[in-house]
Amino acid sequence: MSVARPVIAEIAIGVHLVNPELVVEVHDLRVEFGGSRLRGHEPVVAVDGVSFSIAAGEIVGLVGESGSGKSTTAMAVARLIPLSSGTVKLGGRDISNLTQKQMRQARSDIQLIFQDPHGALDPRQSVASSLREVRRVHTDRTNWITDAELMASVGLSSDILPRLPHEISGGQAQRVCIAQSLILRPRVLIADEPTSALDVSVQAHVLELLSRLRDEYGIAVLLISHDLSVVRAVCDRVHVMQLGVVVESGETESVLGTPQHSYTKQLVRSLPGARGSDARNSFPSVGFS
Amino acid sequence: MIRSLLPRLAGAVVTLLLAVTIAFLLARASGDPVRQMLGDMASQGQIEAVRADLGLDRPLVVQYFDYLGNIVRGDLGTSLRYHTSNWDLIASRLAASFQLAAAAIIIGVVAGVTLGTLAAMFEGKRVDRVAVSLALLGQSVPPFWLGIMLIVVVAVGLRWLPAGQAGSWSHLILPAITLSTLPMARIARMTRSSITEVLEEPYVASARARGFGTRRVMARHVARNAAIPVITLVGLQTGVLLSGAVTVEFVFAWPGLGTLTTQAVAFRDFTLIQALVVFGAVTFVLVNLVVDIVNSVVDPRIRGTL
Ligand SMILES: Nc1ncnc2c1ncn2[C@@H]1O[C@H](COP(=O)(O)OP(=O)(O)OP(=O)(O)O)[C@@H](O)[C@H]1O
Ligand SMILES: [Mg+2]
Repeated sequence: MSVARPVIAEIAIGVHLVNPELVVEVHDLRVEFGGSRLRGHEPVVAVDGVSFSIAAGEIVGLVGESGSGKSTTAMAVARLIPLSSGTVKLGGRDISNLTQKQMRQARSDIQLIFQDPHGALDPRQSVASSLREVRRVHTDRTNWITDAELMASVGLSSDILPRLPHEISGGQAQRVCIAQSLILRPRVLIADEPTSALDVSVQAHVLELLSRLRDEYGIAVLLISHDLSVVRAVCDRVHVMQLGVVVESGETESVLGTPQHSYTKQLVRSLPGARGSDARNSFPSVGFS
Repeated sequence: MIRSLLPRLAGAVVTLLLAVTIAFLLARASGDPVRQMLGDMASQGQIEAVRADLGLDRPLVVQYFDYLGNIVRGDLGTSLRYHTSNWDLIASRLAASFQLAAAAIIIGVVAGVTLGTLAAMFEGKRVDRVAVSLALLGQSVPPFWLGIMLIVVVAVGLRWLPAGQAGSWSHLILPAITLSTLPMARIARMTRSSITEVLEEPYVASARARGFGTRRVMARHVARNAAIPVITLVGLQTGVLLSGAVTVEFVFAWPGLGTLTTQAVAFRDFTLIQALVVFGAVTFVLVNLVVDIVNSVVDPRIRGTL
């Protein structure tokens, strides 16, 4: 990494820089799995009436313990799994009823980053070839940047381009995934645990990249994590989920600093690096290179 | 590539040596071939004479190394029954067997891959259940029974196709279908499980999230990653079919290696049996080498290891 800027300081400014335009508006989202009236199965309600919004240039966190419905929310907002009810608006446009074909077009606006960066890359495709494929599918959206510029903007050298996924590190793979999204100039980036599969030393750099892209391109970011120190480090606002429901939301500092809901209190107590200034110290390399 | 091919070649040689040795031992373990060739009426003197003539009176070890030496020189011996070179006998049946095997494997691959892909894409739905049942059926119906049923219904009853022997293309259809059912079923199941597994991979969700259509995702990402185990299986099945489809050739009186094998066993033509086993083993090993090479072309990750 060339310049490692203090993430925390940036966020303090970021909050005030945000464009008030709402990029994502999720209203009363509900997702059920595996119900079958014929066979008398009760459906699992994974997400039960979740509402939130994200403004351009804002990073919103979604936290909660395993199974609370964070990933399901992400997949449903991106329309990768069917919504049972509720609406999702992207830049004011309701995408919840788009056909698969219409949705494919809209996908360049809403991109996802997954937890396991190596898993998210086709093992048989070189970095360059995967970028070429995105360019081929979205010709008009992708010609604003060359591969070399793209690599530079996610902090990678162009030497990476001819490599296959197994020939790059986890941190590099996650940057490649981010590059594959960035090439589309999305308005929203949903990052589902983007750092939890990475080495601690690399985590901070990837978070720093996300907040830099937010600053440079005004991308709205939904950052899913169970690590409260990650959320504290980069999120402007945070939503706390429990059993498919958002139980508490607000500015990151106030939600994690003075939690109101008993579940949030418990989360803040139980999860490492959550409290106060400890959180900042738990990120070894942010801003101190 | 040549250097990393060496261990594989060494493995192939060991496999061949084992097969050849087993063929040698089996031909001698199943009773005295000379006594069975000449029948009960032969005198002890006659038997001794023939044994000496064939070199069977020598110690087993000497016979074995003599046999190995001949194989290495490419000499597969002379048939006890037909009194011609075993190699010529095999060569005369090769075309028929190859034609049948090729037709069966093409049917098996096309039908099996289609069925398996549909099943995986509609996992748990009705299409999947139908496909899985068909595959199960194909794997459990004995080929001789299916062959006889096809002859009875399609050839004798409906008179649509000839019942047996080689000739025009129409002669090929029934035996090829019969021979294809088992590989088809295996390929369908392998395709299904392989694709189902790949569909769960995050890179498939990731490709969809980039706005790639189903056809692109299936053809460019799922198919290529699911192909390796299927290609390997197709190779194995091809090897099995090429070295002679004994039952199916017998039922349809198909003049291939399978029928030759049946005859060789019936007449206790042990030199011919040995020759057929050696030929089958060589075919099998060669097909496997081809599979390794094809897989390395399909999967760049393996390229380094070959
Ligand atoms: N495909 C599915 N079929 C049935 N149930 C599912 C499916 N996916 C998720 N669920 C259920 O939905 C609930 C929410 O799961 P989800 O993966 O969204 O949780 P999460 O908050 O992302 O958890 P984690 O922190 O472990 O990633 C869980 O109870 C889970 O078992
Ligand atoms: Mg999750």
